[in-house]
Amino acid sequence: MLSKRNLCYVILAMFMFFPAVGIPSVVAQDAAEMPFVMAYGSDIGELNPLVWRSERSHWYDMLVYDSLLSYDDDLEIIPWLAEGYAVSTDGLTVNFTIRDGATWHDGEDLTAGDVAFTFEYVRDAPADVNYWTMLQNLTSATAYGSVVSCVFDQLYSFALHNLGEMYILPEHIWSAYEADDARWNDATNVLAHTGSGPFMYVQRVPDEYTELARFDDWWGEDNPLIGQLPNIDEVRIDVVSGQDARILAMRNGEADTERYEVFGAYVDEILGYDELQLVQGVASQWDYVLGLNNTIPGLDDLAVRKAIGLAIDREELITIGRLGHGTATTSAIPDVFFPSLFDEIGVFDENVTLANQILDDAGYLDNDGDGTRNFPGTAPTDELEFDLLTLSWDDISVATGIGIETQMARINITITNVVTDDGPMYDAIYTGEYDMYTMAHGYTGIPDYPWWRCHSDNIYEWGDNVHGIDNATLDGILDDYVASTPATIVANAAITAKAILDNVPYVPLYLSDDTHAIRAEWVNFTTPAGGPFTAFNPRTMVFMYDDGSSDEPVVAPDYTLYIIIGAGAIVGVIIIFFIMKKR
Amino acid sequence: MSTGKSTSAWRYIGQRVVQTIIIWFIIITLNFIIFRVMPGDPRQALIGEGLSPELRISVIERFGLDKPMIEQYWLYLVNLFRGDLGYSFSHFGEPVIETIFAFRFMNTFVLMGAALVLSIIIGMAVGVFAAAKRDTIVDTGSTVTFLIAYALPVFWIGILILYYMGFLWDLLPIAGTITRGYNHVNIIDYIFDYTHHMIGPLIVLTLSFIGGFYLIMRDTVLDVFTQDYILAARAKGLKERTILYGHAMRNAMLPMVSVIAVNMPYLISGAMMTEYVFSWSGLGLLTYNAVLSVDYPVLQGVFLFLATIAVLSNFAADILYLYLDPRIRY
Repeated sequence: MLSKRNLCYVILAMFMFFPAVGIPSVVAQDAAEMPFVMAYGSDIGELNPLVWRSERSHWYDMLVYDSLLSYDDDLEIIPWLAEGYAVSTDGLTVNFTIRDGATWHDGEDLTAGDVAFTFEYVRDAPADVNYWTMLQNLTSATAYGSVVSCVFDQLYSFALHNLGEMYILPEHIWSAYEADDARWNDATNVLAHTGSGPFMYVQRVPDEYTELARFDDWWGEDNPLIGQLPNIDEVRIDVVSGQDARILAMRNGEADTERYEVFGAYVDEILGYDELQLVQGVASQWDYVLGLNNTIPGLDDLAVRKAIGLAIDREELITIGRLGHGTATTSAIPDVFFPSLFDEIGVFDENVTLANQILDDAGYLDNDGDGTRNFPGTAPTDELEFDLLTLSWDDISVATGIGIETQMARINITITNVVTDDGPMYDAIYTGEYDMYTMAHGYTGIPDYPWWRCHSDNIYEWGDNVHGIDNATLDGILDDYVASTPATIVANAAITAKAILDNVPYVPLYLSDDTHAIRAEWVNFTTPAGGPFTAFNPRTMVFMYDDGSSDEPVVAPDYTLYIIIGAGAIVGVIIIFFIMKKR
Repeated sequence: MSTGKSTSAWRYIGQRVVQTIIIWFIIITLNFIIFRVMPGDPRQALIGEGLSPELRISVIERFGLDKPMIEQYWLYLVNLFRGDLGYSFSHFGEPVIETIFAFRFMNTFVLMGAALVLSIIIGMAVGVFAAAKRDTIVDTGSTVTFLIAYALPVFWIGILILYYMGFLWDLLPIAGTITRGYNHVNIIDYIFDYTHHMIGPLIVLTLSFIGGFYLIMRDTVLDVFTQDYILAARAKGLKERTILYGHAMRNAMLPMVSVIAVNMPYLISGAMMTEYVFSWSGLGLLTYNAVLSVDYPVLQGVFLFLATIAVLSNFAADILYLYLDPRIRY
């Protein structure tokens, strides 16, 4: 038998486990009625809404902070926190009327003064905060009652877009600290993450999850374009590293969707699961292009670049590169993303015969009979052949490169696919040490990228004009495009698209389609170009709801059974130990 | 130990200390150079399209990337001795020390420590037993089993465990170190939750480690069995268990010290693929993400820490040999 002392030990051991067994079942946690879990491959990089560096951080910011404007399904600007806006005819003044009754998450009133403060605060912040560049031309932002008037000293076509996209900050919290203060990234400082957006910051466990709760005093019901609060009452961003793990998490209800779309064989896999649905027929923001280095022999000749542009079969590339899930972009300003600025005049045609004719006329003939054209001149001259860089981790980039190689053979230009990684590829592209590349650039709702990509001002190491195109006429057109008034922007956009078509610094190929995997019970998400979960589309997270068709409620696991078994086993081992010892 | 032996032992230790310091300096220099000669530019992680030259310069200056290489190296050394490993590019504004040690190091240490201890205990015990039962079904079966486990890719075993135990049977969580969104009521609740999440990666790592320890212990014990003192022990009529675990295993421990020392860096490097598959937030997953985002400071910090532990554990193993094996001469 056990001695009294050993019996005490056993009882003590049992009592040690009582709290663990008892308390979890006693303290019930408030369960969200309609939680939504977004699985991220890696954690949010920054919580500071002024320095987001990835779409992951940007999407989080969009939920916590309001912007003045947003976009509808055609990517046309709509009022958001601002109930109205106006741009002066000279384009130098932008006025916003701020919605009455808006409040911050801490209960303070949101005023036009907060908006004016935000613009001037960002303008005067360190240069590496978002939107800093555009705001350097802001002379003043002044609040008059509920109106904020922003005056610029230089015309910029997309000032309205930029101001409208910026996250509005509470002056009473931000004014005492610098924009790059560590507090804005401090997960434990809840007050530092006070916004006015549809969801409030609750907590974040780094590398695990970030939790947001619906802001019940949000102004959504007062905006006729919204008319409601979010249906979702809790948003959680969970870190689930692997693609397979994310799909399993979605299938068993631990997650509802994931941050980025699925690719390759995963698309068909998702289509085979009843519990999941696949977003289809919606262009994502990932814009695949054939980048050309306009400074190397061969590609420095407009005839060669034009021939390459004419020899591209986009639909075939979509089939090869994205298994059919893509939307062709035939213009530098594509209709699918910017319908109000699109013009047929800038459309890249496919015409292989004309491409061959252009090369023949320019003297690029196969003068050694090996199937590849040679440079003009007396034979033997160099072959017209180029290396094409593609990204190893991006199936779309690699497969599209293979497709381009085949298509260029139709005009007797030899392409050698060089599959490489981010590091060497970006090094090569941003220092001008490459021939061609195929990868995606990301679109936002602001179509100012032609200027960044093609203006000679942006030719420098790690500058955006990686094509090295240096054309004074094109520069002038691009300057006019980004300095348009509301009356001239459409015409200038058409001229810009035509100028890019005529100079072919790069060839637009296609937008990869969104193909988001999402649990089947979620309905009513919005589908503008960019997809339902783009960081410039907050409407999805307001309108979307769970229709109740799933019978898999997500609940916190109950460890009681595990704990009882564990406690029982340990106590049992202790008893057996003492019995054995006694004998 | 005589005075002469003691003096030579201290001389040996002194030599090893000097060697260790020199090796460590070479490592920290390589650690600086290697990230600057490899392809890739940290600017790709910091800047995107549509940013002005001023902004690009500002970002580069913020991280000291505009300074000459030799100045960067000097700053690196000075800051290193101040315990400052710089700031992460991708965890914007966070000191690398915090990125590594705030919680990731402990997550890796606990997981890898548990896996190593489990695999060492099981590997040694089964290795001794298999050696004692040489050429029986026990020996063949355990050898084949552990060799297969050793050879299987960890990410594949991990995905199988996720699929069967996490998804189909709903026994284990799919991701993380804790249940997301669940507020633990006390520390015991937290520990149970944490342990529950650790089971999957622990199984994978234990399976992958166990084969190495098993094979070394089995082979060494087989060698020990040929020694005269084992014959003498049997002649004395000692129990087989006493011979196995009291004599054979103890004398077979020496090679294990080297193997364990070699495995010590795993305690902090983590198992990248296992941590990735199970979203286990440790140094392995941190390294994986840092490679993807060209986060030089974090990579430098992790590798420096790893190299330091490797150098120190080898130093410790050498010193331990002095104690364990009196035959060693200097």
